[in-house]
Amino acid sequence: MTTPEQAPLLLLIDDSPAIHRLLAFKLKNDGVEFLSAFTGGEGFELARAHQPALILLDLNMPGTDGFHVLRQLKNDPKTIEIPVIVVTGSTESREKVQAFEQGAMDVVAKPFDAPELRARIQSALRMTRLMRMLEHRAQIDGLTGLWNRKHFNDRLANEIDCAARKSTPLSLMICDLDHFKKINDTYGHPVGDSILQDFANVLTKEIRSYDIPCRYGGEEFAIILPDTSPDQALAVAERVRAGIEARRWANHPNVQATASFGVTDTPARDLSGTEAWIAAADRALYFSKQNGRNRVTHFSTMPPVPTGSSTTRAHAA
Amino acid sequence: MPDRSPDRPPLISDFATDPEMRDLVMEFVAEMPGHVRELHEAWERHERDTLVRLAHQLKGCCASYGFEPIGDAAARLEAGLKQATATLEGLTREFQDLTDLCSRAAA
Repeated sequence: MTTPEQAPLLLLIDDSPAIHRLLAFKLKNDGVEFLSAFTGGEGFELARAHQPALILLDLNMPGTDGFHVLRQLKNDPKTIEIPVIVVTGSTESREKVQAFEQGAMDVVAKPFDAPELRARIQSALRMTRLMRMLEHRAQIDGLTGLWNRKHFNDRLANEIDCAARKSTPLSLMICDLDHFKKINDTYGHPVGDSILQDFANVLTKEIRSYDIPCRYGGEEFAIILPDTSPDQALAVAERVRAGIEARRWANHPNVQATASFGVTDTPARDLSGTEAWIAAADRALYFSKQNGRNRVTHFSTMPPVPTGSSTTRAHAA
Repeated sequence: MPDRSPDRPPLISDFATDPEMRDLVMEFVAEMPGHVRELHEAWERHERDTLVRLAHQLKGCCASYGFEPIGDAAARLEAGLKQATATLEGLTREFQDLTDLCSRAAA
């Protein structure tokens, strides 16, 4: 993904070298980098390989139908998100409509009016930035700034696949603030909320940069720990546990927050779906709750489950 | 003195007075003899696809360099080459129009 700091990469697909020169010149002060393709096929390959921030596509190229290139770009998961501005010498509205229908973000007419083209490029880049931001926001928990449950579900499935493919270890940690309802009832929801936010801060401070912290719901958090052995996962969980236990609040000196933790790695030989992982981490969490709270339990060290025991989702707070 | 008959005045770019565009237009004009040569070679060898490609490129860029009449002539030749009903006389005239305009291009 293009970050605002680096110059956005602009891919121009046009059969005329003179047009490439002209555009590079006209846009030389616009802070964009140029990538040139002179045929549709070349353009498609460059788009896949370099992931430009924007594509300018000439609709009329000999040997290639520009619409064909547009369809290719919009049917490939690697290029579908890249905005395309279609350039056409035709003034026919039918062709413009068709371009929009096939996924073009904008249409500009040749010959170029440089200021207009510049404005349209900036507008397309801005629009793309906003869309990406919205997409990102939709996966973020509003209160804590951690990833939300939807992102967690997607990511866990992803990381399980990835770990299986690369044969790397994977750990999952679920934690739950102890007696959180009592804190809410005693001090009010604003205090409860700020404790959740603080817990999120402790969490992000104590985990590693490549761990994936999520708010699972209420006062429950789930952290995916890629490439992490059970011992390493226990160490991370223990750091977070100690971190929240040591935390004090200036305005509420009597508040003491702790959390219970359940950790798992490969939970079952025959079940590798996300449900099996969550259930295993949850059982370990339940065990922590049953055994005094403010502690970390690994699924693999738990005593065997008595036969006939039912789901553990509704564990004690 | 270059031999330039009065009925073939130089064709000046619309951007000739734009100081920003000056170097670009000069470079573009300098390429014109090359284009004319390529057009003639393709014409003599009856290379229709090459002619279409060359005409198409000129159609696509000439207007952007302030040579709209050349772009229009290129568009006419390209359209003619793609038309099943085009006559040799018609194509010859379009070809001559284009090469003539190209050779008159000036910055």
